Order: sequence, then structure tokens, then C-alpha cells
Amino acid sequence: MKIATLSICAFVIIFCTCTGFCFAQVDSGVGIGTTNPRVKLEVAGDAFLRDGLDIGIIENMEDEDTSTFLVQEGVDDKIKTLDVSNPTGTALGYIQEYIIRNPNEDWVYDLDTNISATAFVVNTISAYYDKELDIAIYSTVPNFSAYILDDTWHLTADFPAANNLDPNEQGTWTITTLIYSRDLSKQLGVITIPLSGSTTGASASPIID
Amino acid sequence: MIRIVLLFFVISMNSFGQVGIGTTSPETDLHIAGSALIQDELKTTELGSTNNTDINFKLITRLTNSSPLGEITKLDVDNLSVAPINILKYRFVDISRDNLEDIDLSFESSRYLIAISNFRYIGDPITKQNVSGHDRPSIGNFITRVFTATSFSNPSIDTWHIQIQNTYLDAATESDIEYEVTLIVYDKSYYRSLDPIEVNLGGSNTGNVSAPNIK
Repeated sequence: MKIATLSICAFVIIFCTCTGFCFAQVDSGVGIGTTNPRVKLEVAGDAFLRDGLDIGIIENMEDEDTSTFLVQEGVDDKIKTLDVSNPTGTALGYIQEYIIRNPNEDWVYDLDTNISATAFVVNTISAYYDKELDIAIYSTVPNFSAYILDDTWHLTADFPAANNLDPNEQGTWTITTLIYSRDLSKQLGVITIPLSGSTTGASASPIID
Repeated sequence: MIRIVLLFFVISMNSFGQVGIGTTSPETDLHIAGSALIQDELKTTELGSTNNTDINFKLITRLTNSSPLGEITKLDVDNLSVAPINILKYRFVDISRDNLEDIDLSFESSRYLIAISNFRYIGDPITKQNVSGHDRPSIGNFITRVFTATSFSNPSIDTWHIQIQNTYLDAATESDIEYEVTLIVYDKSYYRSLDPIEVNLGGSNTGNVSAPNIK
């Protein structure tokens, strides 16, 4: 009579405290709350991984894929999707056009957008005026900008020293702005560069890599 | 003869209390040698944050076209033909006077948003025009703008167009003017275009409008 030696590779102790069927193990994997796990571990419910997770293999998104971003949000630290196609949900950024009719000829001194400067960043990205202008001996360049005043963003637009050729015409400034949440951007402050009368100079980068 | 049948368990635990699924030597508290699928919510309270020295990170996305739904992937711009933000530099040459009246940039307006950044006017100036019966000469009105309009090559879709010119005055016929402009092309999958906000200032140079409904 031969006695075969038996070696034990692993042992398992399973404590099942949930009601109903909570744990299944098949050749392909482990199911929690399911008897038919499609992958190595399938949880038919919520999971709480306190200290985060490392993923060994993560595929690249391809051109033809449709997707949402993942963000961590809220006091409960849940992982959520950021679905831009939802018209009432959040996006990474917003394009907002302002159509400003009948300003003081070509001059918009201060339009309060009422967008919170603590929650958002607003940049003007292009602007144009639509009526013919005149000017005396000077030349001019269009000037448009967003700035913060009393905790909201304000817009300004003007051709300095120029006016409507026909003062009775009511013109329109169209200003396109980009709005980002402060969660996704950093305001790095104002950098003043004194050129001491020269036309060239250098400035240190405010970004510390 | 006695045959002993060995049972290999998919799930195992080591002496540190670490659990392995599909592995007998787990490297951390739960080690899955395979994929995991969580049908409902995932919560993690002690997730580390990236800091100044983390330079090579990629955004994480969740696919809506995978099977099963919800595969976690990474966004590597080198792997995509269109990134969330795309920068393109254009130079327009050999223009008739100063008039770039309407160029179809061919970007579908249903898929992209475009903004102008960095504009350069390179070349001969446009002379001010005296206006009879008026004491100041005209400088016209110089416009740089992008706008959506019907595509020149496919009338069933709308595309982004660009206009750069003085709309009231022309430069002299023999003028040599070039325009250089940087366009930022935003993929609409990530950015949203809001409805335009209109206001009439009634001749004043100040005013205020309601903020858009964004979070």
C-alpha cells in the first residue's frame, strides 16, 4: 500500500455574515452577491477600498471610444462620473458668449457677469465690435479683458481713443469667454516685469516643476 | 491505493491576513490576479493626491461603450487623434488686401468648440479714410472672429469658420498682409457650450447680467 504525500497549497476561512447568498467561487473567479462572476472578482453591490487601489494593466482610450471622466467628489469620497453630455451636469470647462448691445458707443467699461471668482476662472478668448469707428490723430488697438472686482468676474471692452463714426448707431460687442472651475485650475498671480526702457527681457517661470 | 484529490481554491489568505484571488501570494490587503467588476458604487477615503513632483499622470476615464459597461481606461493624448484640448497655429498668406472674409476651417461644430488665441497682424497698415462732412477720419472696424456656418464642402453639416478683416476699410491693392492665429480646438466631449447671454446696456458703459447656471 502506498501512501501519497499530499501538500496543501492554501487554506481558506470564509466568514459569511450577510443574509442570502453572498459568496460564490467558480473556476473563473469570485462573486460577492452573484453566483456568476464575469471576471476574477465581481461585486454585485458597493465596494469600499479604504486606502485606494493600484491597477496593474489599464488600457488606453481609443478614438472610437465614448467615455466620461472619473472624479472623486463630496464628503463621502465616492468615485463619480463627470458626464459632460448631461446638460445640467458639470463639464471640465464652459464656453460662454456675451452679446452686449448698445454700450456707450464702443465702450464697455464694466459688465458684471455675477460669476463667482472663488468658484470659477473666466478668461476672455476673443471679442469683436460691429460698427465703424473714427479717431483723431491717434491709432488704437482693441482692448478686452475679464477681471475680478468684489468677488465676481467683470468684462471690459473698448477701442481706446476711438468712437462710433456715427454716434447714433448702436453697436454690439460679442465677447467669448472660457469658464473653468477652480478645482481644475490655478491662478498663479500677477507678474510685473520692469523692462527699464528696453524692448526685450526675461521672466522666471512661476511654475515650480 | 488512495488517491487524494487536491482542491485548488481561487481565493487564499496568507499569514498576514492578506487575501489573494487567483494568486497564492497576495502583495497587499486584497490582491486580484485578474479584473474586478463593481456593479454599484466605489468609495475610497484614503486615496493619495498627486503633488508637484508627480509629472507623468494621465486622466482616468470610464468607457460607456465597453462590454460589460464601465471599463476604466486612461486618456493618453498620444494614443488619440483628438485630445480634450488641441492647439493649432494657422498662418494666412497671399490674402486679397486685408480681407479674410470667410474661411471654412472644416471642424464640425457638433463635435468641437473653437476659440482664437494669439493673433498677429503682419504687414502693411490700412490707411484711415477721411469722411466728408465729418471731422475725424474713419478707422473702419477690424474683426477677428470664429463663427459656425454651413460647411462649404458638405451643406448638411455646420462647421467653424474664421473671419479676419477690417469690415469697413480696405488696405491698398498692393498691400502685403499676413495673419497668424492660434486656434484652441476643444473636444465637446469634455467642454460644454452654454447659451449666449444677451444684454442691452441702453447706452451705458456699465451693467450686470445673471451668472450662467454652472457648478
